[in-house]
Amino acid sequence: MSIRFFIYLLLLLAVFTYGMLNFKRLSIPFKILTFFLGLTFLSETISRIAILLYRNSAPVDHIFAVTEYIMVAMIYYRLSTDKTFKRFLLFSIPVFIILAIFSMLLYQGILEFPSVLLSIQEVAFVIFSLLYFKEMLLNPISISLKKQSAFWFNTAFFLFSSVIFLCFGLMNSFIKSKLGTTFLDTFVYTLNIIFYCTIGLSLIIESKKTINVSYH
Amino acid sequence: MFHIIEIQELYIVLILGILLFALLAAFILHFIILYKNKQLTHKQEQEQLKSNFRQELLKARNEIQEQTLLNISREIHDNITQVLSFVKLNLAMTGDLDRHQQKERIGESRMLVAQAISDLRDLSKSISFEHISQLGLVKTIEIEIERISKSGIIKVALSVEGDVYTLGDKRELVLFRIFQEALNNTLKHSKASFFKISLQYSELLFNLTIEDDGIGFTTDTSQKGGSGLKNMENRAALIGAVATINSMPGKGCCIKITIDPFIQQAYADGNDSYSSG
Repeated sequence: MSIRFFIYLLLLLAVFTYGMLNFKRLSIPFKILTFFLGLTFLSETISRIAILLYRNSAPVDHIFAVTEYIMVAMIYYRLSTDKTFKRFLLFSIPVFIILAIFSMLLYQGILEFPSVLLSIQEVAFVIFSLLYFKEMLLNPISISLKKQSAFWFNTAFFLFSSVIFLCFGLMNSFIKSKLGTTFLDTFVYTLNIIFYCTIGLSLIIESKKTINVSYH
Repeated sequence: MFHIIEIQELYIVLILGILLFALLAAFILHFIILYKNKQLTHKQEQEQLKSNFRQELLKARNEIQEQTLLNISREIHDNITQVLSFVKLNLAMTGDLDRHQQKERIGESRMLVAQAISDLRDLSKSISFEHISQLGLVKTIEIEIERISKSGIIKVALSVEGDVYTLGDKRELVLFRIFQEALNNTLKHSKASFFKISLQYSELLFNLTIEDDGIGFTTDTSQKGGSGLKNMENRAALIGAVATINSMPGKGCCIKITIDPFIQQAYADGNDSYSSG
């Protein structure tokens, strides 16, 4: 296990533990986020074990891609107050599940890394975050943006999903140019660290919140 | 040669990547600026609403005060002055009468003076906006109904359903003013013989229904009197209530004010610096 992966796992565990310790004070979307963090930690650990034992973690990635999508959609469902957006989120879940099954059966099998499915997922998350940004603009509240947990959560997902999507695109160019993927791997790890730090920040803000803003 | 093309391709991808980062950062910055502007606009709108509410509250208070003074002056002119003039005339005529008749007239005058005193006592209980905060909406409406009933101009009925709770001084004052305006309209224009007020208190909703069996009107606000109805609707909206006005010529009128008691409106529920003086 490399040091950077160990740091990444440790950060993930720390953010998840913070969420669990303050679970009662969190609103429902952030409670789901805490479970999401726990699940990510679990999947990353199992994935690493699978690589060590079988040199392949694709089955874990297939399963996690679907659960991750459902959980993130549910977080946005609970954060949002817009009925159309909520309907869109609910509708997108079965669509994504069907897409995942088709992708696994016809395109990238259970033993192949589900890059296409993950790319679709990242695009969906960018759309979710953009729609939530729009909703925030339509219903501004008097609290400063830096004290709004939902803003940090949404910014984290918007930036992370956009950049990860770009990284999938860059991967082929890096392999072709014989530069290897070391630079890109380091970049993705750094991005993950920044992402989970931002998610952690949103959990801290949420746990310190004294009044419920608008989440249901 | 092939390697150079690949490196060039990589540079293009990297430049595009950097551009995308810059775009994402610009987007977030743009969002923050837009959000702050929206917050400012929202704050200004809230302030405007607050200011409108204060103005309407002040107007409602003045109108209640004016209505009270009008009622007092009418009562003094139509009732007390008449009674006292009659007493004066009665007493002036006693000089020409024998002892037995004098006794009768004095007795009669004493009864009339007692009635005038009673009427004056009732006048001292005339509605003012302090009454609403002290007695509450139901009691204040009861007093007003009692006054109207005594006059015999119209039959009035009041029904209260559910457990009474307070809606807040400001909301109750505005609701009372809407009731008073509806009552005045009925007395002045409707030619109604019956006026009914229903107050329904439930956990989720409060309803104030004002009905009469008068000549009715078309609810087209462009016609004369429409501004009064619009005024009622605006006032209701200011306290987070919805006013529904139903009327047709010959079918009387029904005004229904519905309010969700749990909807918090900072400017309607909070204490503002405005003083009743």
